[in-house]
Amino acid sequence: MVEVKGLTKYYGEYAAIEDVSFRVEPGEILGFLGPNAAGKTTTMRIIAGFMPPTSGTATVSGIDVVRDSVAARRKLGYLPEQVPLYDDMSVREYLTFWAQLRGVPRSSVPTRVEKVMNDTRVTEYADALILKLSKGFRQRVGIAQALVHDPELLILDEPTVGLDPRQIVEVRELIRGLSGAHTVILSTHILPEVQVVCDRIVIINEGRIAAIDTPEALTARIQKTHEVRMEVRGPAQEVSAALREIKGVISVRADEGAEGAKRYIVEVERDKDIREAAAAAVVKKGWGLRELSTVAMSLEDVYIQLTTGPEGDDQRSLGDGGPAIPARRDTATQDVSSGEEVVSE
Amino acid sequence: MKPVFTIAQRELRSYFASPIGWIVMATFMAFVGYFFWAAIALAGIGEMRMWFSNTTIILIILLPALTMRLFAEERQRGTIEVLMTSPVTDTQAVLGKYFGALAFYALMLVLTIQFPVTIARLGTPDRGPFYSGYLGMLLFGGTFLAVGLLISTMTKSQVVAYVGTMFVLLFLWLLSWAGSGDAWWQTLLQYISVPSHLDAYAKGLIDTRDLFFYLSFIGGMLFLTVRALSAWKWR
Repeated sequence: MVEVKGLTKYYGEYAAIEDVSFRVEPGEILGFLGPNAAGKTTTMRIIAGFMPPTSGTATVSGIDVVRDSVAARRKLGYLPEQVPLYDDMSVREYLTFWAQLRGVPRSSVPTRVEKVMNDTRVTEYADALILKLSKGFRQRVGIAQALVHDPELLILDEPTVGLDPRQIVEVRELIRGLSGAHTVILSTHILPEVQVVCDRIVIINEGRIAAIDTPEALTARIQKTHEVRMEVRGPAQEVSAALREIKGVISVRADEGAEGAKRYIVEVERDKDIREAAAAAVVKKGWGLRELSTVAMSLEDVYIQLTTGPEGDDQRSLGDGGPAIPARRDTATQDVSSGEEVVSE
Repeated sequence: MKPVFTIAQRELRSYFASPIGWIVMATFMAFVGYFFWAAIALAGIGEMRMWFSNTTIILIILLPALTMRLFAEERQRGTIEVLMTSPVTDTQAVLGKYFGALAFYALMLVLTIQFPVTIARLGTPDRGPFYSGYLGMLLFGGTFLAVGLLISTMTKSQVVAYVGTMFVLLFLWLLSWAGSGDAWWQTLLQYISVPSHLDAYAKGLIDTRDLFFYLSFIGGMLFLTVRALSAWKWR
């Protein structure tokens, strides 16, 4: 649906993006993830036909966005970062204007406008001036604008910024619901967003692509090891020693636990599952096993790894198998609705 | 052509939805009404020639207020990104905005038709100068609007667009003073000054040279506007 090859854009001397290449398959939701000023907006603007690249090509359904710009633009709907609204129009007038401008046949304009207002749940304010709408509704009208001509491709630049947690969940559901019938490219710097919404992720940093893959594969690819967390009541030294003897265990760290028990973080080779062996070892010695669980590396860890320079701190760079990363948390605790988990800059 | 019409329609409607359109319209009517009254009731002049030339001065102040928002506001609000990623060429966008503003200005002129009608009721004037005078006013205002449209693409700030346009229009108007002489450069200045071409129209004369001047001036300005818009995107 979209093919981007070697895209480079200079603003004067400053390279906003360099050699960016990726593909988006029809019906897919592609997440564009990166810190602020990483080049997300620039890339999206080029695909949307708003400005030409310095070099490289981008095609939408095989149509070059520079050479045949107007034809390519017919295929897409675009929501810029700054929600583009005419405050002096009502929601209905506004959507009607864009539907007409984008060539929706005159007779089907009202139906399209009704449908898109319904889908984005702004119908109750159909005849209110946009000026009077709250931030959440303004955002939804912005999305409605991008959808009104039923485009094959939707480009959404940070569609959930400034919304409250409930609205964020609603907008994500809306976007999720578009997959299949529409191809979507969306950018964000909010991690749970891509994890929940996107089929594939492009991580971009300082104008270059750092990684492209599915959220799961991306996590797995970087993760050379995984961790098992255990809480055991027993002599710390001996417990550590016993755990270390299990095949596949790389290292064992002990922390304080509750009620005389200690917590152990066991680092294990990627494709080994030591849980049963560990449980057996502890039980055999007669110690009390109080907790046993695996800790998955979150996408956030991956993201921080990829977007932080190697000289930054003691975080290992991609694939050198060095020491474990300090910032580590359980994916299971990552709440979808805690939308403002901003990891940027 | 359809996108041009759609954009022009939105622009025209937007003048009526915002205070600025009404302010311009009301101020215009107040001033031109005063000019007419002063000419008829005080000076007893039963023709429109003086009225046309007085009105041009008001246009220098009022027309920039119509054009200042055309592109500056789109840039400031970010709507230009959606406009320029819709299947609309730069030329269509520029023409749409221009005709939107021109339509509003034409409407302002239509409201003044009561003045020649009044004169016609009071006596039996020659009607030719009325028609040609209005055509001249439309072309004259059209050039001003084209200048304002160009300047509106160059800034995000409507205030800058307004002040900038007003200065340029004032300059174009004052050129005709320096041009009152017979030296070749004065003839040149006379030619490029916008108001000097209006006199003939007010007298009832439609000179193809003046018509050519106005149309090519407007065309040139619109061409530059399209270029400025493209250049802004390429930068």
